[in-house]
Parts: sequence; structure tokens; C-alpha cells
Amino acid sequence: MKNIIKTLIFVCLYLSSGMVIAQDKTADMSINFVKADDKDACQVTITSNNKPVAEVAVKLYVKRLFGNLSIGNEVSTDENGIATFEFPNDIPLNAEGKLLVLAKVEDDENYGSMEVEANSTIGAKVNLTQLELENRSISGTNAPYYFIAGSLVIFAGIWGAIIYVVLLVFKIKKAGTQSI
Amino acid sequence: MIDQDFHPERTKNETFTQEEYMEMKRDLLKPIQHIGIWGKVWIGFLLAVIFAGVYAYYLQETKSKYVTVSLRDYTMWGVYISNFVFFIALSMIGVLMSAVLKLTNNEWYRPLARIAEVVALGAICFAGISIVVAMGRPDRLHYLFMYPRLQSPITWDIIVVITYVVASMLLLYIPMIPSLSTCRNHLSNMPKWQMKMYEWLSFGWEGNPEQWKLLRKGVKILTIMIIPLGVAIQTVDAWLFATTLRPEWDSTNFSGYFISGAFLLATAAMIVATFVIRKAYNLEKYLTELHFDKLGQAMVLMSSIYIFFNINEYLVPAYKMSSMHANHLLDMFIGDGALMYWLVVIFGLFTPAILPLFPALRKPVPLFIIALIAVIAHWFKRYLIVIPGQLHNYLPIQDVPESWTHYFPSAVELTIVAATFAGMLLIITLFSRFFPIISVWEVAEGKLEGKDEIINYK
Amino acid sequence: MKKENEDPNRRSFLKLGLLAGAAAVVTVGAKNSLLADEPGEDAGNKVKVKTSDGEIVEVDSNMVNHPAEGNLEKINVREPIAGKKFVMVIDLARCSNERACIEGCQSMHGMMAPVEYIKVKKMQDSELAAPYWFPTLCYQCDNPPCTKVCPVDATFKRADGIVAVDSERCIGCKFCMAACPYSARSFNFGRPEQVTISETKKCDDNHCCTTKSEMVGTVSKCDFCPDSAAKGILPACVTECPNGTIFYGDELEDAVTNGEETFRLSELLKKRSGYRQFEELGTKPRVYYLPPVNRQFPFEDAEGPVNTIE
Repeated sequence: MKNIIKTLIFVCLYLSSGMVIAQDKTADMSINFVKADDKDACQVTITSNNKPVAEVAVKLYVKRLFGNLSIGNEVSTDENGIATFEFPNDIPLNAEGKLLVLAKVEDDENYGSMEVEANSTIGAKVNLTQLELENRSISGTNAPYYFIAGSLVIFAGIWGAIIYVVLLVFKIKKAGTQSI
Repeated sequence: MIDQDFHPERTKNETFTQEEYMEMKRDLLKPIQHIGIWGKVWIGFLLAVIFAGVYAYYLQETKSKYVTVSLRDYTMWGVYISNFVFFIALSMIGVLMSAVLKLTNNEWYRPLARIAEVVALGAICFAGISIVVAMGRPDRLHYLFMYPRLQSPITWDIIVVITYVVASMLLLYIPMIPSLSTCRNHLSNMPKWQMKMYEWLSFGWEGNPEQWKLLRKGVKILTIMIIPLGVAIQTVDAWLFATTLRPEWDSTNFSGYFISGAFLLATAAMIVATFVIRKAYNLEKYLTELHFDKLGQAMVLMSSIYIFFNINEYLVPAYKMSSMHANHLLDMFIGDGALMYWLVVIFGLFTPAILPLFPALRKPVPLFIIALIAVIAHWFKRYLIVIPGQLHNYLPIQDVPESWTHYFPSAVELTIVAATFAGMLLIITLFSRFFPIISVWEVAEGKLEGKDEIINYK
Repeated sequence: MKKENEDPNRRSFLKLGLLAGAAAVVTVGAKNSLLADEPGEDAGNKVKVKTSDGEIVEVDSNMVNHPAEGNLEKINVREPIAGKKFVMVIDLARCSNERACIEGCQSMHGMMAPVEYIKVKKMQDSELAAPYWFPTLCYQCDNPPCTKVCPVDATFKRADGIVAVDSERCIGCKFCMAACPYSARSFNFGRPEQVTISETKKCDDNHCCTTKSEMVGTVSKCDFCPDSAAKGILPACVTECPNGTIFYGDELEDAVTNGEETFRLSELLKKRSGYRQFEELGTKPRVYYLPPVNRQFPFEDAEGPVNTIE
């Protein structure tokens, strides 16, 4: 009986201590980028009171215009408090040549939710010339030069003949010798 | 009998005998000199239809188009557009009679040329009106001239139509100058403004050799030029449809199809116009059985060519029956459009191709009936080209109200279409009341040059 | 650990979508409160709005600005949104003919049924093939057959990928409607009920919407809602869909999202074998379809005909 009560008290103490520990603690997150075996990697470090925190699930995102693109799967921090993500090197950079990277911890049992952002220059440069429309085209506002030239030639030919004929009519009038 | 206004010196260079001259003058100036009760009734009737059309257009623009017009998102081009295509095809009559026949030495064109040019001009004017009526924002009509896009087939259409109107007007007016001076010389008891008009329009014509030389030169240039212009206007009309990706219009055959159709319609319309004018103005001596005989033969030729293009347009895709065309073709052959399709084929294609092969049917009255039926069938042919295909898009039409799944022109649309016909007929009627409808000097010229079969058989 | 809202089958999208839809409706109705100083009729009412981060925020309804607000004088339909090239991906494995996209779009643009900028069609490619629901809209083609034929340059291609319509220039010839092989365009016939709706939703003369559908006698169509998109707000069709069928994004960013899931465009198209409708016509659409393979739920026919009222 004494043993049972001892176990019960021990369990209660253990649980209550767990509950005490289960209150949100503060932790710091940081992101840095490393290169390992010619592959880019992103390391998310979580420390609490300068001590690394392990077993925290981290998700990595790149911020885009309409939402966040997730990079890889959820990774838990190892015993050094570091979660390593393989970072692709072909994500298009933004206009300033950077990527806004977001690391998130969502509803961790100890630390709650937290996130950190960082800029990264790992990615593909966007060739903005693909935004330029052809200056002159059939479907565009301005016609191609050959189009305009060809049309003018035909137009001038036909209307030249018409104007010539109109001038002939005036000549007819002049050719009338008698005054009526 | 000598008229009061007869000036001998002005008629020095006229080219035929006095008796012939007096007879012709009397006959051809009669419609101008005198208008009977039926003439007035006819003009009154045309004016009434035109006013009804103007009122219908007023209704269309002030009340909602959703209510007054049967057009919807899927059938966005209706009878206005098919009427436009019909009138453009009809305008080929000028090319046919004035140019094609002339350059192939068919001398019997001579009495018919001016009638043809007037019909062509009337048709072209009301083609333009038909298109403007179809615009959603007619108040922005000037944008077509302020912000034109050269790559658009509509811009090409505007350029070609305007050029064709100018060329047709010249081809009507220039050969008419000698006739205008005849009017000035020989009409009596006409209002003063009318006589002044002839004076002004005859542009100092005396008929001296130099003037004749200039006149013939001008007419020759225009005659040659009007042929490519006529071809161009039909081609651009065809390209309004053939530059789209719709299966029923996406056809390389379209230009030839439209040009040959225009020639057929022109021939049939020429027969109708000749018969009516012949009867109305008692011109049996000048528009004779020869002309109907020849026009009948021409109609057989044109129909045969058009049938050939129709085979290429419908039977070749039917052979393949690709799913792009299948719905549209089956609808026309055996579906909802079958009645109209087969009636048009019978009366618009085969009747004018086969019946005039019989000489008895090339007499004026039977040929007129055949030609009139053909003209009506050809209006429906243009309807078939423009409208049924719009209901057979690549993507199926679903989840729309019933009125969106079929098209039948509304009363407003039909009234306006009728008014365009009335307008064209009014132009022809008024012209023939002010100017001689037959070009006397061309007939006389032919006689002088010893050409045969102008008015009568050899 | 999978969260409830990551389950792609039945997300809480319907609820979120309704909220966004409500925001859109309120937005459309609150146009008279666009100017900062004027309190709108709904002052004091709270409304939930979803931001582009996926968060639900509660704001005063008269603070819900039309996406173009603050930009009213500057919106020029001929100016592209700088640095962006909009693209759309539609996942045919998810579409179940909810038609929420259609209703959202109609309320966003003040259009009344049966005019639909986005349509959902039942397609069946051949007798033995399975039917599928097919949302279709203007594809903002890169080789547009419609801009070629416009006689007055009223419809044109912009550098941000969008084929726009200048309602001030359109003469209503309907040639662009004839030229579009996808039947994507609509004409404003001036239907009396529509005119009434447009009048009440009218903002002002300074173009609050790039597609000014209330212009009677002109052509209009889906325009990918670029003015909202420039501010990071997804178009109504994207957010309204309870299944997250429509993905929208910037091709230059190589990312598309349906509001909840974001994918790399190139990966999505490669993995799911994206294709474009009627590729052989050469119009080069900017909307990709993901084939209805591994469907999320079996095909269900519609209950009855829709839009039967004239």
C-alpha cells in the first residue's frame, strides 16, 4: 500500500512538474544558410536561454505574392537545436534579388507558435525581358513595318489610279472649247 | 418635231441617225419626263418601309438591346451581318456587267452597264448601313477613323468598301457624262434646278474627239481596276470570317467561295433588275430577249462554279467528319438547319444551274422567276454562312436560358433589314427618275464599230 | 502532425470562402464609402476578411476597401501591373460543380446570371472516357486571337499577361467575341435588370474595376482581377471554391496558390501533367489544367439545369 501511494505521489509530481514545464517558454529562432556538398541548405536554430532545443517541428517557407511556398517537409530540430532543410537553388528571386524565407513553429507543446524571417539570395535570377511584349505584331497595338509598307503600296497604287481618273474628268471639262 | 431647247450646235458630234436618235431619246427620257401613279405609289411604299426601319432603329437604341434584338452572347452576329454579306456580294454586279463582260467582248453588256452600276452603289451604301446598325456603340463610329488598327479585318473592310464606292461612283458617273449632256439638251418642262443639275454634271461635255479620248481612257482604267477591287471586297468580306478560329469559318476556301457566290448573286440580281426596269419603263426594245438569253447562260456558268466551291466547303469536311466540324455539318445536313440548307441548295444552287439550260426557260418571264427565287435563296445562303455555326462552338453551350440556345431574328431586326432593301430600291428608283438608265452612247458606239449582238441577235 | 485544414478533401474552405465572399459582397456594396471621410451605410458592422496569409481578420465593414481604393485615379486599364505575369492552374480532379466560383465572380463584378465570366461545363471527351467538370474562363492567351481582330485597339495584351478590355474604346462590333474559340467573352446588351444592378454598384467614373461591365454596348470578360492581385488579394473565384480547385499566381515567382496550398508552378505542372485547352489552336493560353486523375471524389452529375430563367 505504501508503495502504491509513493508511486501515485511520484506520478502526480511528475505530471505536475510536466505541466509546469508545459507552460510556453520563450525560445529564439534564427535562420542561416550553409553550403554542404555543393548543395544549399537552410539551418533553423532554436535555442532557449542559449541552450539548444531539440525535437521541435519546424516548417520552412518562401514568401510569395499570394501565400507561402513550403520548402520540403517538416523537420524537427536535432540535439543541437538545428533543423536542416535542403534549399533549392532555382526558386525565382524577387525584384531586389532576394527571397523572403520564413521559418515557422506551429503549436509546439512547449514553445507555442513562433516564426522568424530572413532574406536569402539563393535562387534563380528572373529574366524580366520576358515581360516585354513584342513592339510590333499582328496581335499587338502597332502593326509590323512590313504590314504597313505593303498596305501603303497597294493603297497608293489603287488610289493613285483613282485620282488620275478624277483628273481626267477635269481635263474633259477643259477640253470643252465652246462656252455654253 | 423639234424641242424648244434643241440646240443644233451642241449635237454636232452625236453619233447616230436622226430618227434612231429621236426614238431613243423619247424612249429613254420618258421615265425622267413623266412619272405615273404607280411610280409614285412605289416610291411612297419604299419611303414607308424606310421610315419603319428608322423607327425600329430608334427603338433598338433607346430600349434595351436584350429585348429588342435576338442576339445573345453565343449568337452575337445576326441578320445584320448576314444582310451585310448579302449586300456586299450583290455589289459585285457592277464588276460583272461593266468590267468582266466588257473585257471578254460580250457586247450585250452595253445597255445593262448603268443599271448594274446603280444597283451596285445602292447595295454598297446599304451594306455599310447594315453594319453600323449592328454596332453596340454607334456613337463611337468615329473611333474607327481615330484609332484604327491596321491588322484588323474590319479596318481592311472599311478601306476596301470606301475605295470601291469611289471607284463605282466614278464608273457610274464618267460613262454617264455624255448622257447627262443629252438630258441637258433634250429634256423639256423640267424644274429649273434639275436642268441646272444636268448642266453642272455634264462638266462641259461637247462630244469633241479629244473629250471622247479622255473619256474612253478614264473608263478603261476604271474598268480594269474595278475587277481587282471587286475581288478584294469579296475577299476581305470572306476574311472577316476566315481570320477567326471558329470551325465553320476557319476555312482556306472562303475567299473563292465568297467571290464565286458574289458573281452568281450578281447575275441573278441583274436578271431581276433588267426585267423589272424593262417592264416598268417599257424598254423592251433595248432590253431584249437576247439579254435574258445571255444572262441565263451566264447564270448557269456562275452557278456551276459556285456549286464547285460549295462541294469543297461542305462535302470535303463531311468526308473527313472531324469532330471540329461534325456538329455544324450534321446540323445543316440533317438537323435543325436542314430545311433551310436543302431549300437553299435546291433553289439557290441547282435551280439556276440547271433550269436555264433550256432555251424556253431563258425567256424573260420564266428566267425572271428563276432569278428572283435564286436571289431570295441567296439571302438565306448568307444567313446559313453566318448564323448556325455560332451555336456549334468548340466548347459546349450549357446552363444558359433557352433564348441563348437558338437564334431567330426579332421584329426590330427584320424591319431594319427590310428597310435596307427599301433603301437600296429607292436609290435605284430615284436614279432612274433623274438619269437615263441605259447608256445610249455605248449602244451607239457599239453599232458604229460594227459590233454585233448588242441589243438584238445577229 | 496533420492539421484539420491541411486535409485537401473537405477543408474549412466553405466557411472561409463564405467569409471572403461576404467581404467581397460588402465591398461591392460599400462602394459608397470608398472615400475615407464618408461613413458607409454599414458603419459599425463587423465583417471577417481573409488576408493573403490565410488569416481571418475582423474589421469594420466600412473599412473594407475595394481593392482599387486609393488607386482610383491611377487605374489605367492599359498599364500592366509591374513585374508580374499572372497565370492560373485549374485542378480538374477537384472540381465538383459547386459553382461558388461563378457566384463569387458575379457578385464581385456586379453581373447578374446568366452572364458568367467563368463557366463550369460538363465535358466528356469521348464515349468511353469519364465525364468531368470543367471550369473555363478567359485564358488571357499569349497569342490572343481576339486582340488581332479588334478594329479600334479596345482589347489588347498587357505585359503582365492579361488581355484587357478598354470599355471606353470598345465600339461593340463583337468581332473579338466571334474570334475567341473558347467563347470566353460576354456582351452587355443593356438588359434592364442588369442596368439597375450596375447603377447601384457603380463606384465612380474613375474606373474602380478594370472590367467595367456596366458599360452598355461593350464587350467584357474575366480579367484575372489584376488590381486585387497587385495588392496580394486573390480573385473571388480562387477563394470561393470549397475544394480549392483554382490556383492563381505569378509565373515569374513560379508559385501558385488556391489560398491554402501553395505550389511551385513548374513542379505542379510537371508532376500532375498540366496541359492547356485546345493547345493545337496555337493561342497559348495562360491557364493550365491538371487532368482529372486520382480524383478526390467521384463524378456527380448536376441536379438539374441551371440558369433556365431568361
